[in-house]
Amino acid sequence: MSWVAHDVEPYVIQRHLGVRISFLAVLFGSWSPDLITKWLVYGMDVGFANLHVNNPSDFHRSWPGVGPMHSPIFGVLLAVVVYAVTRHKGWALGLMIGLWSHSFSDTLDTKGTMLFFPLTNYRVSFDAWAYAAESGRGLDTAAYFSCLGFVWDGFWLALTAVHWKVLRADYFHDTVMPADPVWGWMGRYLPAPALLVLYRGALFYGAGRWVAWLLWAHVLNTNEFDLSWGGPSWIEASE
Amino acid sequence: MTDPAPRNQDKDAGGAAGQWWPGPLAYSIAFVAYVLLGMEVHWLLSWTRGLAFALLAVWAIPYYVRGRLRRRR
Repeated sequence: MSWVAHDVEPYVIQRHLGVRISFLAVLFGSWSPDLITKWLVYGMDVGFANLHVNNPSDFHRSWPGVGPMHSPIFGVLLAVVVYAVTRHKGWALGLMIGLWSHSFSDTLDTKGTMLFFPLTNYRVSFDAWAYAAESGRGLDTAAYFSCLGFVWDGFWLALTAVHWKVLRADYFHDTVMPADPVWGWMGRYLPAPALLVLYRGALFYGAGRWVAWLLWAHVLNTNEFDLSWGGPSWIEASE
Repeated sequence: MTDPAPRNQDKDAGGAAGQWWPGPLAYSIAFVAYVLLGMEVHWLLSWTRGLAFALLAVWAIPYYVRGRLRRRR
């Protein structure tokens, strides 16, 4: 589980793969494993009903459940389907690489991901920080921004800063737009600055969230930092 | 007659020459607003709704500020 890395990894990937890949595809690939499943992990109130699952962490990362969406094989299948429909290599490759980056990032928490599904349901986990979604959204946030998880996100923000040229308008116009016809289609309805806002939006969102949650966890509230491996020790981790 | 300046000379400040939006000032204002509001109103930092709001902040806040500046002139 990463709170910000999934938003900013696509910029670094884009910088290394350039025109061969669609940035939007990498971004949607990077978000896709959580996009339609994460809200069920925390539960959600719809009218008078509370939609939730009984074992959120297993539902999210294991099988039976939606855990296969965190597996590299799902990225391959997604790429095959998208290529069959669109015949666009940049989108197929982008979705696959984006999803893979999510799968590998999430092996760093205590729950891990099924990297070798369907050969085995074993979840690979490096236990660097606690997967604590079952503690509820508030405690989960406080825990994540007190342990190595937020350091990992900070590493990706720093890496994006090192690759700052990827954020320039000329890079967007010369490299990102030509790789993806979707930008041209959106350009028929939106002015150029709006396209640039959309392109930079995920970084803005990720960096904003990182700063805001850190301040919330340690300035507005007093949560103890614990940068030990597998921390923080004050939260119950799902394994 | 001299050649006109290239239209994209100020691209990184936000598109066509002379246009400062969405430039560094706009992003800074929007970022501070997003962080301060998000710390209090947590759904602004959540998935989907938070992302939509972040994009709206970058889009609308500079748009509003620019409109105010124009009216003052």
